[in-house]
Amino acid sequence: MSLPITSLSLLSRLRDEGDHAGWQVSWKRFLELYHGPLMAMAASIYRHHTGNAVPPQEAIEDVVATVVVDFFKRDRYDPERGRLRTYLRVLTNARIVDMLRKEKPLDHESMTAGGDALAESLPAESPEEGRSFQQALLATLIEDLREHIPLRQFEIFEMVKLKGMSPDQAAAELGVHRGVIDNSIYKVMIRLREIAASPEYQEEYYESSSF
Amino acid sequence: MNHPLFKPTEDPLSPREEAEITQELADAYRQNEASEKQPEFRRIVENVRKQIQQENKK
Repeated sequence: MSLPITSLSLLSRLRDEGDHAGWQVSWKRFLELYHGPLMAMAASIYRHHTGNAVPPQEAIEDVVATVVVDFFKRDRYDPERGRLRTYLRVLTNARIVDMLRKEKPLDHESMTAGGDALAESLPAESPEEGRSFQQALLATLIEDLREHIPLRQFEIFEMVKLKGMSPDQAAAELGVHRGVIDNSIYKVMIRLREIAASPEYQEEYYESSSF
Repeated sequence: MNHPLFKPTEDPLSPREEAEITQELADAYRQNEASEKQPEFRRIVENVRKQIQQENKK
């Protein structure tokens, strides 16, 4: 299986190769990038199974932590077989259902059904989940960009495009001509679009997909 | 499926498209930078650590 070396595939590779040190670093980084969408997924799925009850914060955090451990423990996610966002939603749904069963399932009047039917009832993605996942994916793209361009170019891109500094300010701060800044930004934007053109980004970005 | 970020690289971005991409990236960057400071994030990290330690003891 040949995949582009992006952060998304790097996560799978670290896990697959059993690289313990890499594993330790990658779960934390994964959590930094994806805890927002995971929280949104868990809250939305909880509301779906409980007739719109307010999700308890502590329980939702516990579900997110368990999903992250599951994601890195289980060797099931294969980017060639489906989208990351779908896989994470299925894992999150399973953990929410487990949690509700441990509580008193019959107290949740609007639970659609018991047993397997409940586990299979994966709600449609909420707009909040979609937005949060897209934002996490863009942060992943920035991570990939950092790994694929010279440090100096990333520094210039970060100052001007990500932190909003003017090109003239960046040139003065770095002690370079304005042309160096413009040239670097031009090159980085091309590289950014090349990385974004990889199928995994396009497949993951949109809420509904034919992939 | 027509977000400007995913336009073919041979098609130049208009200034408006580049500004749109820049704004979205900057928002994602800020959000990500801020995430480590959120109490909920730190609690989840600790929760994951505990679960990993329990797994390692098995």
